[in-house]
This record gives sequence, structure tokens and C-alpha cells, in this order.
Amino acid sequence: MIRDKIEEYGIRQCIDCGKCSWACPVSHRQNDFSPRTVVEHLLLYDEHLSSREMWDCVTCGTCSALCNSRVKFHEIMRTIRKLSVERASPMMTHGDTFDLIARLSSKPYLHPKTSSWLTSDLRISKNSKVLLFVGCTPYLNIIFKHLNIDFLQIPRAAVKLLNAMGIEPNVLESERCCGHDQYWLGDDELFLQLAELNLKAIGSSGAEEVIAFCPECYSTLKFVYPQFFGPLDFEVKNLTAMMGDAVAGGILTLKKDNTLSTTFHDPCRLAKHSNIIDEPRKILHSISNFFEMPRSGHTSVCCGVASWVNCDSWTKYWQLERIEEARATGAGTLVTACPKCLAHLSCAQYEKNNYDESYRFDIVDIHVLAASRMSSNERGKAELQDSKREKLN
Amino acid sequence: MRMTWLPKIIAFCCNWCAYAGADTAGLSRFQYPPSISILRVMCTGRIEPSMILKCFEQGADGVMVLGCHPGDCHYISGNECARSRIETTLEIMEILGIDKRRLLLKWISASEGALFAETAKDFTETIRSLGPFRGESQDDQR
Repeated sequence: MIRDKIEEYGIRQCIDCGKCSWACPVSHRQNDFSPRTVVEHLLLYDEHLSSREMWDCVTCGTCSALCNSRVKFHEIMRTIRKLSVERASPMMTHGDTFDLIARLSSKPYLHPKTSSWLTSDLRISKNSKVLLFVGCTPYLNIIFKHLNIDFLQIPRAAVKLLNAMGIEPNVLESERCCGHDQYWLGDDELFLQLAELNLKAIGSSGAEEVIAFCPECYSTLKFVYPQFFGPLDFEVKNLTAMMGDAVAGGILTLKKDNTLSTTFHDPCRLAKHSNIIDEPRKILHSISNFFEMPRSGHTSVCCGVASWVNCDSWTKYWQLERIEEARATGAGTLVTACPKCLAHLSCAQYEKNNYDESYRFDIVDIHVLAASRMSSNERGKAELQDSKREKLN
Repeated sequence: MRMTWLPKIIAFCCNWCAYAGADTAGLSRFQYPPSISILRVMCTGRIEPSMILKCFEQGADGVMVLGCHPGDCHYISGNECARSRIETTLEIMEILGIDKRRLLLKWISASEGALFAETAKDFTETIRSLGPFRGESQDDQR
């Protein structure tokens, strides 16, 4: 019952100021959705929301990050979904493909081959105490084939950057989905199956430190797993944050390109759920001329689709609006740190490009960009071919 | 034991060619194993990767996608779409660790009843040799 959780999520502390509804990217486009109204509804009436209200929320956490009374609105939404997922199931994109991938990878009799992207120039060590968690990036590479982005460059760049920082990571042979989407969709049963299999695999690898480049994997491993399993035997780190500290500490030297101008799209799981805001900016300041978008950090807007639910015309509109915002800063490249943000923003641009050639704009991953700016005396090959940029030029 | 095990196979058949082919097989009294469950779709182009993955998730041992020969599609290029979608599905299956031989794409026209029965027989044998899907990773198969 959500009523039992009212104190835990601080629902009674709501002072009805409306800051959440001002900041919510969904209520900017859809007048019938507002976090404030949902909270009021919960206090005054009952916990049953309409299907629209339940699934329109992107759980980005902007409302919670800005709330003066610390109401955890995105956690409330998750609980409501958990309680009523059978009554009103979500409309999934890509015909449920991602949900089915997670479902199939939760089967103990299947052994996914998630390390097939490794190439010979990447130095990994099977006895390493550091583990790189890859997540669903290899699947994105197949499903978003038409976008002409090589998603596998992201894990490859991650290994190259770790090598340059003097770390030879281990990679799991058979990695399951981290369960992020299932957690936020309220499917706790499937989430626990995936989490148990992952924790078992990480435990048997002997890792003391798990590094995730994907903000979703990071926030799930770091904050959600301990909620269910108690303190973990290993430390969870985010690669973007590690790189930022390494650049500031002089461990990682990146060459500055004065012709490159960038702006940064904060992924919700990085900025709002994990509070990692300055580190990616340190990296971008060191390699390029950095421009800030009006909506950044805690007020940054979501890429539009979370957990593969509700990709619709509103979403496309706000993705294009975000790309326009990035172009208006005068930067030539939009950088993001999440493979899913990269896929969603590039998808909107891809659709638009069919009608309007002027929408061509570079969208790249921060790890791939940083790996391509590693100075030549860094260990490991720094020559990364950015197939997308090549194609656009 | 293995010979008596009957695999569960889902066959997506296009309405205009393969489904009619199955009809021809029945009318001509060609025999094929009862392991095949036919699902009729209007065109193989309608089949998404998720539909095939759903079959495996629900416990099918094999999936066949049977459509019109290239150039014969009732909707001009539906089977071309099917071909590229099956390729995508095979790539996903490879990463998930599902044997690629468990998915078959074949073109069968309305008159090829014998070919339908033969395909059903051959595919059942392939799946039998692979064993049950749920037991794929076990060393000691039934």
C-alpha cells in the first residue's frame, strides 16, 4: 500500500509550491500531468492513478532534486507502478524487445555472451580486482543499427581510458542486464532475479571494485542493490566521475582541441540520481571549448524515454527541442554520458534528418570523445575512429 | 528417450504463401511431425524480433518463419523486411546465448506442400539434436 509509504517518501511534507510541476519536463508538454496534482491526489483520495499518469512520468528525478521539502516523487511513482503493474501495464517501445532481452537474460540456463566486443588491443586481465560492467550497450548496437552509431566504441573506449589510468579491468564472460528498467517499471520479481545472478557472477569474479560507464547501471548497482541485499562486498564507481577526478588530478592527460566546441546533456541517472555534475564538465573543459545549456545539472531535461516506455510524439518534440537548445549555445557537438541518451537523441535527429537536412548535429558519447583526445604518449592506441562523425563530414 | 521427446516449435506462416503451403501439405496427405504449431500472420514483414524472443521466453524450443519467395510477396516487399528483421533477431540471439539454429527463415510458396512437410520434418530433427531449449546449458542432456 502506498499509504504505508507516505511518511517514508515525505509526501506529507509537500507544501504545494508547484516547483516540481514547473520543472517537470512532462508537464511542460502535457497539461494533464503534474507531480503536484499526483501528490495531492494520493493524500486526498486514493492511490489509483490513471494509466496515463502512471506511465507518463520519466522518473528523471528533476522534481525530487528541486523539492524544498525533499519529497521523493520518482520513488513514489515507482511504488505506485509496483502496486498496480498488473492492473495497467505499460506501453513498451520496440515491441517489448528490451523487456524480453531482460527476461531471457534472467534465465539461469542461458549464458549471454556479453564480452564479444573485446578487441586484441584492449588490455584486460582475468585476475584483476577491478571489473568493468558493460550493461545492455551490445544490444543497443544491434537494435539501433540504422542510426549508424557504433555503440561498441563506448565499452572499448572505457577499457582504453582505464588502461591509460593504469588499470587493467576484468570483464564478465556472461553478464546479465542490471535490472534498471525492471526496477523503475515496478517489476521487482524480475529485477531480483537479474540482481541475484549479477551479484553471484561479480562475487565469483573476485572483484573489489565495479566500474560502470552507463549511469543507469551505476545508479542501480550503487543505490538500488543495497536496498534489497544490504551492503555490497564491492565498491561501485562511475567511469565519468573517475575520469573527471583523474583529469583534475593529472593522472589522465587529454589533448585540448581548440576547434572543438561542446555542450553537455546531463543524463538523469548521473546528474539527478547520483549527483555527478562537475566531473563531466572538468573533462570537457580540458579537451574543448565548453558551452553550458540553459537547462543543465539538476534542472537538465530528460532525453525523453526512460525504461523504454512511452516514446511518442511529445517525446520526439522535446528531444528535438533539446537538440535545438544545444545548437543555440553555439557548440558544434552535443556530448552525453549515457548510451541510452545517445540512442534517443540520435533517433529523434535521424527521423528529422529525413525531412530537414539542417538538423545535422554531432551527438557523441563522452567516453568515446575523451578516448579520442588521449595524448599520444598515453599507453594503448588512442586512434579511435568515430564512424558517425566521419559519415556526417 | 530422446527420440520420443517432441519439441515445441512455433511456425509463423504468411497468409498468402506458407499458410496455403501448409494447407496443400494437408490436402495432399503429406505427413509431418505434430511438433509444429502454426501461427498465421498476414505477412512475414509483420514479425518483430520481440515476437520471436517471446516464443523462446515462453518455452518454445524452435521458431520457424515461413514466407513467400522473394519477389512473390503479396505486399511487394514484406518478406525483404522479414529477412532484415530475422538477421537482427539472430544477432540478439547470439549475444543472449541462444543457439542460432533454433530459428529458421524459409520461403515456401502455396503450391509447395511437399516442401512444407519436409521443412517441418527436418527442423524437428534439428531441434531434437539440439535438445530442449531450457536444458541448453546443461552438460548432461536428456
